Amino acid sequence: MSDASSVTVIHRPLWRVRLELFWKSVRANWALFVENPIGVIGLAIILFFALMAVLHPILMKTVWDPTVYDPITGYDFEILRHPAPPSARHLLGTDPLGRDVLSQLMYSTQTEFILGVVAALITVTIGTLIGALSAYYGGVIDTLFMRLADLVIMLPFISILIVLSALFKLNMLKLALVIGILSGFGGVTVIIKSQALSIKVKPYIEAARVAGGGDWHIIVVHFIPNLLPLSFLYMMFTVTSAIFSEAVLSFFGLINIRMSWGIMIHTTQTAGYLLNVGQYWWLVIPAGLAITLLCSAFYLVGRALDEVVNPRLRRR
Amino acid sequence: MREPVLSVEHLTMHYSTRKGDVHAVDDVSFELYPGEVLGVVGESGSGKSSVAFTLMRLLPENAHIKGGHVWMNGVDLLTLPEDEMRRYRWKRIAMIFQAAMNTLNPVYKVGDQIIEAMETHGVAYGEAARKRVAELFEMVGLDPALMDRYPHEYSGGMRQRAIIAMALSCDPDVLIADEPTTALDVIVQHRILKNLLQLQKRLDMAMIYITHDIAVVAEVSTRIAVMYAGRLVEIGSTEDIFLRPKHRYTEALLQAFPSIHGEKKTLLTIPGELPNLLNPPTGCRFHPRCAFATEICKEREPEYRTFNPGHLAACWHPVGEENA
Amino acid sequence: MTRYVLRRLVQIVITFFLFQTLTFFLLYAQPGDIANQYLLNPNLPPDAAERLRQELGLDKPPHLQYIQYMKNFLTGNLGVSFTNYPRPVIDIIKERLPRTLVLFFTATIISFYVGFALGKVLAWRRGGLFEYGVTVVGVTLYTVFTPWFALMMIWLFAYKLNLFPTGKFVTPTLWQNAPVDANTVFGRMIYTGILGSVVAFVVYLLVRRLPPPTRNMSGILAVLAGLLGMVIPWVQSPLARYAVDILWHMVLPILTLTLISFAGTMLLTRNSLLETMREDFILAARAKGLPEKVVRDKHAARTALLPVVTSLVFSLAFAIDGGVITETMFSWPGMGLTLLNAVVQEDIPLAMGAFSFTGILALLAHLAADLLYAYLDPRIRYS
Repeated sequence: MSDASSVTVIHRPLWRVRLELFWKSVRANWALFVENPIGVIGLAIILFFALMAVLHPILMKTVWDPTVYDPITGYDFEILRHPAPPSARHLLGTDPLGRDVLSQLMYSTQTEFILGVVAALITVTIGTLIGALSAYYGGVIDTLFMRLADLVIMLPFISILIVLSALFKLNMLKLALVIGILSGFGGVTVIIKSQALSIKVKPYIEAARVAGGGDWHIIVVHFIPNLLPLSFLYMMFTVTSAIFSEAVLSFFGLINIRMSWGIMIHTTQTAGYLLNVGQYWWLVIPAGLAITLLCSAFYLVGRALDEVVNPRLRRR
Repeated sequence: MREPVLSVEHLTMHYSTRKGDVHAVDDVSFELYPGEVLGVVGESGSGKSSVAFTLMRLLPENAHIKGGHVWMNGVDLLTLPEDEMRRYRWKRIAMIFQAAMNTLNPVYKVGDQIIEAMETHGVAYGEAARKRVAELFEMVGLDPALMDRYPHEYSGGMRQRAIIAMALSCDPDVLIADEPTTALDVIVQHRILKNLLQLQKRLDMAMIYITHDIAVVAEVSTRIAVMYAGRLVEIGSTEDIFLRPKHRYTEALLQAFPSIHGEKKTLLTIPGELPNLLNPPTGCRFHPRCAFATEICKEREPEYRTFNPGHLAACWHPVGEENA
Repeated sequence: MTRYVLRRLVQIVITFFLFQTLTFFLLYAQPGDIANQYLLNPNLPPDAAERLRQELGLDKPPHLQYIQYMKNFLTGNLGVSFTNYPRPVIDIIKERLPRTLVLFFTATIISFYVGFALGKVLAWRRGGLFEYGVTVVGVTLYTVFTPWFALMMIWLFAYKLNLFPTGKFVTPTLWQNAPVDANTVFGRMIYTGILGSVVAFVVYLLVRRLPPPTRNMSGILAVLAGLLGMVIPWVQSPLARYAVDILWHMVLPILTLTLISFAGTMLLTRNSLLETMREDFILAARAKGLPEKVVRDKHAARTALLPVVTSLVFSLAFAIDGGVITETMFSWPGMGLTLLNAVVQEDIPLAMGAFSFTGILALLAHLAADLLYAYLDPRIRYS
């Protein structure tokens, strides 16, 4: 195949060749990924939650009456005592304020996904860029960012967020921004930098430089695409930590978000039902389980990707 | 003729991989006699190291011994239970590895790593073991004071000497040396090789010396086995192999190296590359690269023919029989 | 070794200053005048406010404020808590820091040990149902929503099974007629804990020098001696029952912290072991005819420990966060609970003080992990 295709390659535009190569590696990696049941389980959980997030607005428009089922302003007058246990009307019961728990749960899923993805994108953009720059230029830039990363790695993340939430009033987007920036300057940078260092010594970088490629050209065309798999991997871990942090802060009532899984438990706590888990399980179990499951799912996918991206861990 | 210490019969070992089975060792037979040095030569990937690891049964999980016997004192090592095989390792067959740098555990003192081997096999304990390490260190040309140092404090040559000392510590019957000097510079290489051979003679061990370097093999071995693509293609005394090679691969291999006798001749390269062992060529495995190949080479595997007592080769068109 | 330690010390001091500077910036950058935050607080009497203003240098330009801030911090003047007026912040921290330290170190050591032991097993039994089972449970606990998990633990062990108290530091009814206060008893417990650890360490070093059969038991003997060293001083003491009360309150938080953090070490150990297993010296150890158990425990695990300790750094910050949450859930009056309460009540001096010390704790734990690494790796120890 080598001879025949190398002749035809010349006639095709470069971007198509790149795309085809990219697609080929995606397919190969996918094959490796699905071999690992841990990653597949994680992916299934993520898809399940994504489905919940998508279904919520549809249900609100069709089946659910907004005055009853709205996750924030709804109230069911037909039930006298709230929180009410699960029934046909409310599959997961109602919360102390008379709102439908399932609707809250599904609505919050959207929040978590947006938060996770925004934070992860920011982290990875910062991490990849700074990692590539530090590896490429070295020297002062490298030292500066690596010291900073050391500091960020050493500091307890949630404690910082707790203090920040005392000093600044955080809403969801600000929180995503803070989480994204903090983790972007932390461990991700160090790992991506070390990967970028190994790319730096590859012969094609030298070739690109000899061919007159500028610094930016080399970084954008050669470094970044090769760092993307690793970046993608760390996106997964960032999503986990973003969702987790948001839940903790919401649970302690420290941020200004309309509805999230953490808020649901917070509401239960302020209404005084928290330690009656046995009797009012629907107030605590679904939300807590949802946070745990989604965090685990992203983490599992991250680990499975780790085995794909990091060949040293492969079995064969 | 003396009884062989080690007798390998029809040894076959495959690695199972994602893409299929790799035929790493295929139907290899040879005998090893006391006090001799058998050089095993071949290109990298020809299966020579795999033979060594199969003899010691130190194979990765995906390796499967498909058949054959390894006889030692009337015992087939391949059928021994793991715990008994363990007792054979180092005590009866010791090995010097290719990667000298990484054979020593970085977190333990070098001396302790040697003592560990001796204590495991009941050769010596405590102070007696330390004394023996000191002796071994002197034998291989190391300062005995170094035994309480860590591997990172050793140079490459020193490490390889320590490893030789470790290999000799339990007084094995057979010593397998798998390219023991590759990572070292030429002068150190030469010194260590000389030292190793002296010790082999002094202790009257049988040694299997694995290398891709035909010049080294000429220097060290009494007999030579040539491997190609998982098969043993020719075996014979050093003289037979160098002066009267029979297999076309051996001939090509000799022509690819400068002569040890210093006579002028043209150096030839062997065209093509080692075949893919996932799917080895039919018939004689060398036929795609062989200038003398005919139809029969593609179709049928050549049988071993005895050309001289102890000199066997498997080739349809052996050297010197151009008209056959 | 000395050079390595010195370099680390210098690095940690620099990082500490960087950290303090960062906290100053946060305070300074927050919306609204920090001076007003202090001065308008209704809990403060007006004359106190004026005194504070001068002490903190709030009337000066920012760079002088920064110098004042650093000077105040280094002399232990962290201001006065709004909510506990007029108690100085440093006083509150002095009282609560040891409680956090004990909780944190005990849980870290236990979870490291458990994680390492399980990780070894995982690496050795690759691909089995066991691996998937333990990995899933471990990862679930590792990513579990900590407050929720703590709640479940309280509900299960304190409410349903009634085995442990639901939280707090002591049982008030028991302590009503106690001859001394809880901090005194706790202080003595820490001393005996240190004593026990020293005894354990000395015994370990001594037993290691004995000939093989006894030598192999050095770990067990050391632990036994350590426990004896911790228990003997209390046997005759009338305070023993109070100490037991505190211990009884510690069990559940430590258990919770251990459960949520062991998986990190476990998975790291597994990966590190799998990489170590490919090293040539493992092959050599097998070739030497060492039994599989020795190859695994002595050669592979000992070497695999190094990267695990390095990566411990990552999990330390995580464990401290876990501690903050766990303390809050169990109302364990340590630094974490203090930090959270201060933040909720907008007691900024106390919050910043607690945060600074949480940061210092993280930095010191980091330093400890570094030193442990240097000790474990002969390439650093002997250079």
